[in-house]
Amino acid sequence: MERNIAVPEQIGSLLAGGTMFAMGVRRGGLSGIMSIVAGSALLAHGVSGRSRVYQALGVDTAHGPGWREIIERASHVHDSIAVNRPPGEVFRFWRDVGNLPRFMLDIESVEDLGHNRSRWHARGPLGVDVRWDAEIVEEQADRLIRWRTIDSESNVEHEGAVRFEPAPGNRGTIVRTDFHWKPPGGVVGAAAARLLPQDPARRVREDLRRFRQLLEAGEIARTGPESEGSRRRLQRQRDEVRDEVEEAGVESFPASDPPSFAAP
Amino acid sequence: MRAVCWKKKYHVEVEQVPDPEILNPRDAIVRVTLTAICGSDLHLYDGFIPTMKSGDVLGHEFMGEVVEVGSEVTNLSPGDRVVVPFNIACGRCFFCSRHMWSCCDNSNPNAWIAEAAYGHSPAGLFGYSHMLGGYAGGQAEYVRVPFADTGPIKVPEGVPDEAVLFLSDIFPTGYQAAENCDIQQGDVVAVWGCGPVGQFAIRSALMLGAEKVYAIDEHPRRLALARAAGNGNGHAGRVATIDFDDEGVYEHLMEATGGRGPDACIDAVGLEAHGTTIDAVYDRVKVATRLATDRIHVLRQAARAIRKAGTLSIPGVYGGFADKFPIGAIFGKGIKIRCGQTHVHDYMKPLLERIENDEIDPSFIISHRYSLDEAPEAYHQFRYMPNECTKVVLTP
Ligand SMILES: NC(=O)c1ccc[n+]([C@@H]2O[C@H](COP(=O)([O-])OP(=O)(O)OC[C@H]3O[C@@H](n4cnc5c(N)ncnc54)[C@H](O)[C@@H]3O)[C@@H](O)[C@H]2O)c1
Ligand SMILES: [Zn+2]
Ligand SMILES: [Zn+2]
Repeated sequence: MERNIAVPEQIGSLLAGGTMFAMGVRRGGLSGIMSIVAGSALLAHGVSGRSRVYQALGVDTAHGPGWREIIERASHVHDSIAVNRPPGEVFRFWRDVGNLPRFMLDIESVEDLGHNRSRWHARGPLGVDVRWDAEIVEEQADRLIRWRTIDSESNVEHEGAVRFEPAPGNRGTIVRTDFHWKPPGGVVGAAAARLLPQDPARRVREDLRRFRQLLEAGEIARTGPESEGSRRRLQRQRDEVRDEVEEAGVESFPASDPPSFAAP
Repeated sequence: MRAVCWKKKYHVEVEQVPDPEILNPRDAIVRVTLTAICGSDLHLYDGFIPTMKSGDVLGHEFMGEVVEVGSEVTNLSPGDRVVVPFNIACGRCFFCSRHMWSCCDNSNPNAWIAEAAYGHSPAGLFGYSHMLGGYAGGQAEYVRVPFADTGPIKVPEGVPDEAVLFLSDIFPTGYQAAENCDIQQGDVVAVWGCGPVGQFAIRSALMLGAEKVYAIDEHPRRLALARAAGNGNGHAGRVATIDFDDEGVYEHLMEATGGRGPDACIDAVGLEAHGTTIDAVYDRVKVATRLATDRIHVLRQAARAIRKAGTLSIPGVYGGFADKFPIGAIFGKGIKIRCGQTHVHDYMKPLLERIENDEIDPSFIISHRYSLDEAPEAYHQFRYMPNECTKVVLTP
């Protein structure tokens, strides 16, 4: 069996296992024996760096993804989701490109330019604005939409397809998405996208979940500031105070440029 | 507003938090008039449920007055008195449309966490960890209720809060646990745990026609309350109790059933089962050292005692992994297992009718009444004085 436990975890296991073993010996009795048994297991975990349990679960903390894999992952994402609505309705919702920013978190706006063209504005990695025009290159009513970038001032190249299949037994629709893109900044951009919490596969998954929520529930599940926990609440209070101070500043020095994302 | 906040293991505090607001068209804001502490809250209190953050507002058993509704809520208006189910359900997904409300696809904003742990996410819950939605709970002055057009049930004037509050969770939970046993005429049912859920499971089993119920716990007052379940409703003498500290549960059940075993067993204890037998101690060590997360002493005992081809119904909460799961007994004896969070929505109306018909007054379970501000003391009582303290309600 190959090593599948990362070094820090090995050290942790050794420390914890050793402590439990010692405690067990000191305490004695039944619970002492239990502690010795459990401690020994942890020690073995630490010494060998190999875990059959991990192997069985497909867990590997020793080997992270390689660079090639990271870039590959960042540039192609396939996913699917079952939606409890008929294919026609699901198709029409997606086809109305104005709906897309309602569930795609990175997309600020999509403007329908007519003639199957649309203008996209996204927030890329590190908050960089990304803009491109896209064209639908294939469309089959209730079944398929395929599009790609035709002009991109930000040099992103993007290609996407979404398929709509009736779910078995007519239980709604299975939506399958394929997104390919060459991220701005090539390798570095892809790596950055991977480092940020919004890694593409995860982001697409969340987008699809929101898509389903909109179609089925008519709204997206969320929580308010009362749900944030003490630390975030404190941060929010501080931010509010800071905003007040800054607003006071803006009043004394007005006339800054309107923000770039303002609607045309 | 003031709200009961989880601070860390064994520590809750009443804090000032922002007032909730309508965020979505199907929301309502409810001014809480009465709320309760649940045995499930004790799992949070004891730090057994992951993804709690300091400052999270607790509470999933609550009722109150609607003060504001979103644009799409047409069935409720300000002033309505409502009880709210503890699970949040959209009413329109695959699962909701099949009445599997606690499996709703669309109510957990943090579904990815639960998905990573379980493969799929269950419904979001009020005040029950970020993995299950991160929603602020109802142990507070106000609460935001998502999908208010689907969940809350209006209650008529004249029925006191204390009689209907438990429609939010423990009455339906005990009832579903009994219903899941598919009780047949003459059946014997054994119930582990005489906490609030166990008490309602016992009473529901009788309502559904159980011939005999064996109730298992170690606290004399909880056991006495269980025996009282048969009084005054034609079920006298149908409940017997077993103190697991004093005697072997398996032996007692075998003696009582002539060795056949109970037709159905209900685990109303969950992942913090107590016990002094070898396997229980083993569980404690494993959990304390994080090699397992759940203590399944009761499940093992039930799987051993249950009659062949019986039904094991599990309302008690489990969260992670367990060791020495008795799959051999379950397989060898052909046991059916029914479990999960309660589909509360389905039970509120029929159980409200039972209350209105005087078949049951759920307030029997309440032993302690506190103000919301006394929540830290209330949690302490419920956690450390289980014999005296069977159920706590809080008034904001
Ligand atoms: N499925 C659901 O939707 C749902 C809803 C509400 C509560 N619950 C769960 O139901 C369980 C019970 O809730 P509660 O409010 O009654 O809690 P509780 O803590 O008041 O009651 C648990 C009882 O179990 C007893 N017990 C402990 N170990 C035992 C053992 N080995 N044998 C027999 N009894 C034992 C305790 O003495 C206690 O009286 C909890 O796990 C709770 O989280 C589930
Ligand atoms: Zn509960
Ligand atoms: Zn749903």
